[in-house]
Amino acid sequence: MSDLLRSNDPLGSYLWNAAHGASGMTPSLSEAVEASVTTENPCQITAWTVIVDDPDPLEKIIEASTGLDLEVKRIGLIGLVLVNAHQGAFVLGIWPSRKGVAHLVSTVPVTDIRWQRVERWVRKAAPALSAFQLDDDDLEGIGTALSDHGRVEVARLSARTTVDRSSYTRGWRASENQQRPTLAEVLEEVEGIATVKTLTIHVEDVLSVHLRKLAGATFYSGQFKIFEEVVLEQLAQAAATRRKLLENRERKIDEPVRLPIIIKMAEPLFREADAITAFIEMLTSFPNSGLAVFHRNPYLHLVVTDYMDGSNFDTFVVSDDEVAIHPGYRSSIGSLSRFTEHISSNLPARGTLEMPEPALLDRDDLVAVD
Amino acid sequence: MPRLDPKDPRLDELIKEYRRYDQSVDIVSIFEWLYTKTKSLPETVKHFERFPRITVDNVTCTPDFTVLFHNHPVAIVGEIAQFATKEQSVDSLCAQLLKYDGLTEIPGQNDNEKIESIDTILIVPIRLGSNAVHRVLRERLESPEHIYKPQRRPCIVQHSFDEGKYVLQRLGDPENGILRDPTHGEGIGKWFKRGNVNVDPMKFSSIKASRVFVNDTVNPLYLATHLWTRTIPSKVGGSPKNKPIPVGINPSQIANEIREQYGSVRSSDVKRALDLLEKANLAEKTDLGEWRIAWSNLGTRSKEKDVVQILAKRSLTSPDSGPLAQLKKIERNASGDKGPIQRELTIFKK
Repeated sequence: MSDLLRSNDPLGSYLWNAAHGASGMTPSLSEAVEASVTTENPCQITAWTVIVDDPDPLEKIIEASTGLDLEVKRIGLIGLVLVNAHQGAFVLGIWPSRKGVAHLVSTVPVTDIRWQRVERWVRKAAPALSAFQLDDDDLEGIGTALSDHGRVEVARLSARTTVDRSSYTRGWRASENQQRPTLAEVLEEVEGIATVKTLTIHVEDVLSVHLRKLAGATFYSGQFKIFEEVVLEQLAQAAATRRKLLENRERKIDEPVRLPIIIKMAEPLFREADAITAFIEMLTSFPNSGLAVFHRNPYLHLVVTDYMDGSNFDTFVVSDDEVAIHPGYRSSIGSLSRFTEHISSNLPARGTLEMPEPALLDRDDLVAVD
Repeated sequence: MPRLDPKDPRLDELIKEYRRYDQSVDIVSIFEWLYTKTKSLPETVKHFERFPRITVDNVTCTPDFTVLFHNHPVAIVGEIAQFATKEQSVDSLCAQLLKYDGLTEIPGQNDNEKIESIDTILIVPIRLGSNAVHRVLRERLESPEHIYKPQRRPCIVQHSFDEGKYVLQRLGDPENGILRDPTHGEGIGKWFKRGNVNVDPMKFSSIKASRVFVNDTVNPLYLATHLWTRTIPSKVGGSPKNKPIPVGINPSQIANEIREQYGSVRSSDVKRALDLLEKANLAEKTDLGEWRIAWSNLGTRSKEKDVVQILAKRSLTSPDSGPLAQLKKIERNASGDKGPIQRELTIFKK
């Protein structure tokens, strides 16, 4: 098994052999990659940043992976899961980044059936672990941070059109006469037309990465330290910001009600006559949940109950391009994260934020003169 | 589940009543927003009460809202109403309005405060607007034979929905009452003289999400839905494996909790909601005069996903299957009792 692991998964093999329990030193990811991934033994490194609402995410991953041949080790604060899959053994590392944020790291590509298994575990481990979608601003932030190291060019884009959510892909070849577009140019080009799913990015000869809206990135080649310090750091920052936005949202008796969370769409989606029906239909596919419609027409008010932990959310569609979520007396970070992610991944969402304090309206704003 | 004709008038009526109640929640939320969250009206307001309960001379009034102003001897009492074709329905509404008209005190921040006079707003849906003017003002207030003789004419306001906004319109009939605004600052009376008041639902959605009831008898389907989707999950947490969770409910205790969290609900309201859940075979009365609910996700085995529709349909068909039946089966198995159904089967085999 260890030989097979070594040939398939040099990073996993290195970590597995170096693991001496939770009391040991926690290595940095860069050190582990530098020590294991060589030009003779290259491999890509997949990272997925998730929000954690549990003291032991490793335990939750194991609970979610029932019926599989797994072995577990700890190396300092890092949790390691050796998965003896018949497609090939691999190690999944759970690397805590900061409070309530972890990177799931492996050498298995995201398109591999084994990674899809990891995705299922995370879904099953909800609300202890939850995925989230990056905002458009987060993607721009990664581009800006990477631009300190060279021109940030996009080689390939996959997106969904805002009109009918059909797939949209586009590639750019580099040539002597023409450079590929920058990340900022591509984001500007698709704004209002499509929402980004993935981007393949090259930063000169410094870094090649695959960036995903579902808060993930794959290191293809270049300087891993920059990948860790810029890309993973930006993903962790985005996760921490999202976590802060979603935490302590449950209502409390005798405390003022907080402003709702809003998910802003890239276009006036709800202007269409059948959009509300489609929205409700989409919510019915939110796993382990139920909904109750309080008001449907001409504006939508429903309550979504998460049967995983009892979180409940009064949800409104009261404008053409926003969904407003008012958490009830139980609202966990994991559940709210799962719920906002479900909406954001199924609709052309631009960002998730707290509703700004509304402007005070007066007679002239409210009274239509006869 | 036994089949129910989707056009069954009983289902239609249940849903219609549910929606009517929800519309009242919207309207009172609009007035709460206007008087507490806009720019200049709140400056004039000393206290807006969403769940007033005023007892004067052993007579208790529960209008839909009251507004007490700073330095203004007149208070507003709001009533959201619908009435039927029967004369008795309008008579009963007028009797209610007459009680409000005679109030000498209304709720302040802590206690009731004395006022000199009352302006009553009667708020009706647009389909009843002209009818209200005719039947309340002409046929009763103006008629020498009728008992309805308030000191001040009620101000009848109709509501509708247009271009994404609720529209509140004071009916322009010369017989219709006028609201006396505070002499200082803005007043809604002036606003209605100027034109219709238009309110985007986004503006009052926070109020609606936090105070989900009005000061009337709560619609049982509305409260049953609230219990199922907000109160029980908030109390018990989840049911991740979708096994039914037994939840004991003491009506007065749960009414207290809901009152603290969301606003006025009485234990009689809770009992009516539990009766509906019992009819739906989702709850049962216990020997202690309490109820036991078998709570789980109702949408997993049903094509219908909306809890409101599921509860309404189940309450009309009382299906044998569902979480309560499942819970009893689990309990029977746990206690080693094979239960009545299996015993019957055994007898049949003999």
